[in-house]
Amino acid sequence: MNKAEKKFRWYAILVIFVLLTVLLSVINGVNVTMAASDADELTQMLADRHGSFRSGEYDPGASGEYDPGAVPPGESGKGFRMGPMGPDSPEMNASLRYFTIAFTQKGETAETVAFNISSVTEDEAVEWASSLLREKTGWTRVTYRYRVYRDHGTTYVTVIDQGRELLASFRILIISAVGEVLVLVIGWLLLLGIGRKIYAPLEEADRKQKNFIKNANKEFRVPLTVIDGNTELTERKYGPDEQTRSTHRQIAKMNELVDKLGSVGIFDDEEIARAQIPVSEYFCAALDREADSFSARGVGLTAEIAPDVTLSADPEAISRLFDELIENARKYALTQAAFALKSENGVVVILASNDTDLPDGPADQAFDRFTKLENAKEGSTGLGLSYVKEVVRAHNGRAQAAVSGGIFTLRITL
Amino acid sequence: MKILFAAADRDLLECYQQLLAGCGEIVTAFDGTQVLSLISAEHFDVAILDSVVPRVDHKTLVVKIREKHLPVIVLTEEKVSARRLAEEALPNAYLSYPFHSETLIAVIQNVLETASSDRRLTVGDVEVVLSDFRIAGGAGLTLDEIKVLHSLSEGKAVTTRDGACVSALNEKLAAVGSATRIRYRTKKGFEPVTSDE
Repeated sequence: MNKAEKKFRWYAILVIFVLLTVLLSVINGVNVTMAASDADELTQMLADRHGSFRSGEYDPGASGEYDPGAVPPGESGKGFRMGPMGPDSPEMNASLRYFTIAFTQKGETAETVAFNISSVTEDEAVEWASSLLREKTGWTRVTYRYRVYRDHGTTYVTVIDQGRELLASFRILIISAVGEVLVLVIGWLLLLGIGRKIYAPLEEADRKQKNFIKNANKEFRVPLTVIDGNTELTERKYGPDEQTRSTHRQIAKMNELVDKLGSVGIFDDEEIARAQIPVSEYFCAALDREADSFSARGVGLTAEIAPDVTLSADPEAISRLFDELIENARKYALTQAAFALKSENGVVVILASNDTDLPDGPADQAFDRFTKLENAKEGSTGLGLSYVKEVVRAHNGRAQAAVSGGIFTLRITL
Repeated sequence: MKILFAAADRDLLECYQQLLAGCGEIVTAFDGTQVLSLISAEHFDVAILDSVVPRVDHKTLVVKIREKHLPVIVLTEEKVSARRLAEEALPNAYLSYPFHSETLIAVIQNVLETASSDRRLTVGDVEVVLSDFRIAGGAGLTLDEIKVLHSLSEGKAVTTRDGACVSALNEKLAAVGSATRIRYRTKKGFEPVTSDE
């Protein structure tokens, strides 16, 4: 399976997960907040009546019948919605499970103002209420909402049972969680199909491009040999001239291109042949070989290679990777090139940098096949670093390129 | 000197028949059956074989030619990997297209010199039979591998760019139970290192 397809699927499922989690968290959060707000509305209403629906301060109407238009008295009574199922309704009076205990200022004596609950005894209610005397409002014993208020030297503690309301919220939470899991599973299955649909043509195009390059590359090799040979035969017969020399130069360019093209997609068809290789030695060997060519170009070369670093990798590919990194730095450095190799937490980190006139920013496009950056030199193929990327990908490593402060740096982790 | 040159591309055959004329007699073949009948009927000093010759499988051809104690140079369209070098039924040398005639002539001369040599090389704890292109009692070697071993045996610096060659050699040394490996030493190049164990 294509790595890009896997990545797409994981990112897509992560996005779905994050969006769903945010949405459901908001819904459930608002739901619980509203439940608390409703409970506070009720305890406030009770507080306005000194802790009881039957405080006697509320007259439902002159007729004694329930009057939906009546406005209850009290300091905070304004704004209560009236209605058969509203907080200030006979239904609520009958169904609300609550108790109110009044304490003298010093808390010495307690009096039950209202007691319409069966889950606790009156004595337990008094004890429970006295434990809340120092509080103001909040949740107690998970599902009970309380409010503590004072009036004329008396402290009232009202506790209402919101268990049924919270159970409904809890159900919504469970349904949300199960729903999210289901959506993720269905999403994953859909992404399997969609991912294939999206990536199959891309994979096919990439495969065709690579196959074309590979086949074309093979097909070029013998004719180039023949053209070179026939040019030589012509030179032997008639002597070399500018035309034959030019042909040889063009053949040399084509040979270089063909050589680089030969490495396109070389790790696609078979597993890489891993061996435990001394990468420090390999890098030093490659740098030693090329040291003179740097000084010939007037480019300063520095290297910090940690000794005895080893890596399980394809020896041939890693050798060539070092060659490409060195060639790239030598070609594009203005005055300085620096290389480093170290082992960090079991990961081999390779750095290749050189001064540049490219603008600051990420430069990962340098790894794209046939891509040349703004500072491309004549004769560059745009294939050297694409080979580096292929080697790194085949070894499940990471390659990054960036320009910062006039320094172009390639960072490779293997 | 008599050279057998087998390739499917007739232009290549014609061109190299003339380019190699100075080396000796060039006999060309453009399919595998021709190669087989030629090697059984005539004596050759060296065979140059394209990696794809029609009608007969490449590996069979290499085996049959080497059975005649005839050195084989294989022309290939791909870079030769360490894996391929480690395979059996090895040709004596590989040369990747595109190449220049001088390169091919140099390879032919080197192959012939090595094949006719009665010398044995000693590198670390192993012995190499040059004429056989083989580590004594072990795997076959290519010309490039022999060149590396030759320099190492004479204590010369080896700075080969060819990582595949060194890797394949180390695999072959391990296969014969040798304690010698080729390791890179900074500023010195590759060296044979024999562990005491």
